[in-house]
Amino acid sequence: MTELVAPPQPLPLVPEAIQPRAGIVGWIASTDHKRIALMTVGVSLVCFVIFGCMALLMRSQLARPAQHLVSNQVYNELFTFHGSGMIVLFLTPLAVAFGVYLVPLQVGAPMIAAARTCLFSFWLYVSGAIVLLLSLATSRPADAGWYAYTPLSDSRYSPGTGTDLWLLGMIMAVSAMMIMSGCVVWTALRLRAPGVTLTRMPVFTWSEVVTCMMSVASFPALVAAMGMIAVGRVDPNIFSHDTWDLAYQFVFWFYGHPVVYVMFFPFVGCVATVLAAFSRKKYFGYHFTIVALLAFAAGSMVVFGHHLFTTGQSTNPYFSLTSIMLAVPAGVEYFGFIATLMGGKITIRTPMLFALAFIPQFLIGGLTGIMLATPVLDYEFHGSYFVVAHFHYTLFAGSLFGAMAGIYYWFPKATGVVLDEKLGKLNFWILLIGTNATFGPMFVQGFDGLPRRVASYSSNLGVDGFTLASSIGAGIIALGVGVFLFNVAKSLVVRVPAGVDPWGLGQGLEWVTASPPPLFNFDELHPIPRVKSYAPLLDLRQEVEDAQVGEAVAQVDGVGGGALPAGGAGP
Amino acid sequence: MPGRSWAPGAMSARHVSPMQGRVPLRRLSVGNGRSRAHSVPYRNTFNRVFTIESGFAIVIFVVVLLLMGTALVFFRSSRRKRASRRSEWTLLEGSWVVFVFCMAVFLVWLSLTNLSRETASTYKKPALVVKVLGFQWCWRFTYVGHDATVQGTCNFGKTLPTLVLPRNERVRFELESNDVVHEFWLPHIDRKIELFPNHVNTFAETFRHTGRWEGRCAEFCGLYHDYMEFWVRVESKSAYARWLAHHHGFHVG
Ligand SMILES: [Cu+2]
Ligand SMILES: [Cu+2]
Repeated sequence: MTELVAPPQPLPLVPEAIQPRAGIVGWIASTDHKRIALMTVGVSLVCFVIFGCMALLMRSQLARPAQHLVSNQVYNELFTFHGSGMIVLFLTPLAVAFGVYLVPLQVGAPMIAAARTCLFSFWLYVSGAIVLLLSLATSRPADAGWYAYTPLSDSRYSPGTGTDLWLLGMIMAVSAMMIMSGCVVWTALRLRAPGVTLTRMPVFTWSEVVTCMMSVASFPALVAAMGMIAVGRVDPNIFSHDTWDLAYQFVFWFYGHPVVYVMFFPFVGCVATVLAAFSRKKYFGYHFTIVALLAFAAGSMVVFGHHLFTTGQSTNPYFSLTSIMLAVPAGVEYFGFIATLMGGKITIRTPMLFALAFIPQFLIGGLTGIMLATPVLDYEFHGSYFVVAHFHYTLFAGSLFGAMAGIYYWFPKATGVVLDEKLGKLNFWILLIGTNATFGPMFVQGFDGLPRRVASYSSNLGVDGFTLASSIGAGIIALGVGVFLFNVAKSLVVRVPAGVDPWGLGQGLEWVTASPPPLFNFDELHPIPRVKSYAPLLDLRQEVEDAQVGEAVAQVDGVGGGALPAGGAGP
Repeated sequence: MPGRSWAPGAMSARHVSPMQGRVPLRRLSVGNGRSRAHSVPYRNTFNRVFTIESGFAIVIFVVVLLLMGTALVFFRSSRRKRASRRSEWTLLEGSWVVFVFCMAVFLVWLSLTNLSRETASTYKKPALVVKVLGFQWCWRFTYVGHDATVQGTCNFGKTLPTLVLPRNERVRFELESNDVVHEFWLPHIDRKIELFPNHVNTFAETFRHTGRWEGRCAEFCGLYHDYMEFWVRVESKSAYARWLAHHHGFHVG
């Protein structure tokens, strides 16, 4: 790849002495954004396994009607920890960590902005995770659900230190991600290499910028909501009745909706990147997509009321309007996906499989989201398994598949070794079957009237077959995750070297440097090439291609090369 | 804001074993699942809107799958010498935005017109007002102006309260919680609304069919949330009057 590189930008030379520190201290005290990001991804994956096991326990209990493998109390703890853990300790950190790793590389920065603050936020996140999990060691762990509605979460109905620890853990982990997000935005806005203008940042970087702006804007609301509970646990009379019993929900969902987008925008970015790379095309409709992402983020702040349609206290027509209108930016994103595939030269590798599956699966989540944004339908679906199915299609069938596309795609860059392709495809098909077997039947369960958060249900509801299917599907998902973890472990042991770009298709600046990248990302051996668009390496590849074609034409016609127009035919 | 002295749900979580039996037999459901289509106003609204939105969703889903399939068949690397370099087509993209915008406006219109039709009925004069009180973990129904109160113990005493209602009369529900947030869900008419302490929520409904259905709590409310069920029985006007005459005072079940 280096021979393609055009005039290098002058870079500060890195003295020999400044090399990454070896050993464990070199990792845990590192201000290198790559190490911080990898540690965050690692911790988040550990959390994924922990809270995934809780889901398996719940699915075991729900496999048959009227079954009591665990008590009601334990079941309530399980879904409280599964929900809050997956959101604040797994998907949000994973989403932000992708940005911490890739944004500096993609904008050609030698480091992340406010690197020590970024490291601090990682440790705040780890501490938050530990504090939150410590709640499980108390005599009464948190059990009021992940949105911890007051008054249920106050000291009369949820007494004990379990809920206190959970609140503290939530505040710490969410604050950590708010701070880490700030570092990512700052990097993209202030540390771009010469030539990387805002409209030459890759789609993935844009998705991270937008994500991190949402987290900076909305996560304070969660801190406020949790702080409100903490104060109210001392004395609820500090608040007026309606503030305590009712307004809490509004404060909470002001965080609760944007966080959903925080958990999926970066993975939309992953999917866009992978689709473009494996179609050998620039992502189609860049400018429209960026505007759509920004509009989406702005819109995300004014739709939270759709979680409150059945409170009787929300402005239902307004929130229905704003929520449904989000279909417009979503439509623009989908247009970009499809139009990028059209006219491409498509190769299907594991990341591409995950990216392709993301498209229809996330669409199911989005289309059922329109139904839930329609109050007359939400009056039936609210609080039922239909909602559970909906958000697992967005966050598992959508976000997690996008994340897997991203992990398979960038794993060689981050570790220097490639993941096994056969195991990857096996992993994909098992997850695909497991995901749809688990969450598809939940739509029917909800439609038939099964409420969420019940420790057991009666067979008179007529959903036994569907709940059993969901439970079997959960087992299949566990198998798929097992294959993934085995693949990672095996690849790290076998160590097939990745080279600069094992795909030969990379478009962003991260693919010009070594795998893994050196301490300051780019060096004399791997300088930043000229950046003319949001896909600088594809530009270079196309220039070489044109030069070759030009030579061929010149040989045939005996005329000077370079006669081919740069823009090819439309799709 | 201390708990009220007349708290009807005196059962404490800590006194009842979570393993205390559930009796599935008692849940003989008259109309459950998708077969419970009835021409109640709300059911009509739900059916109409759900059918339109499902059709819309299926069409979009199929179109996206077809486009993806087309791309994967015709633009595979084995079939192509080189990829297209076009990455923008402003007219097409702009037209698509306008098209999606129009679709979204249609969906908003569909949502809001049906919503306002339903909301309007809440403000009309009701023939009957029923106060619904939710508590951990059962229900109390009070017939305003009739000195009749029905309360259950739900699965603790295995007595589900029955909410008896007259057919073809507008009923207004005034809902309040005794402790935490609950949610009053009548699945057979696709309607639910939350109950808050120290706050009254209302909605109105006219029940067009006689029969017996299950209702339940749909907001997580603590240890025995899954026990909080009740019966709704809609009777003809005369049968309802007879029932009311025999139910002066406080009744369990
Ligand atoms: Cu939402
Ligand atoms: Cu409940």
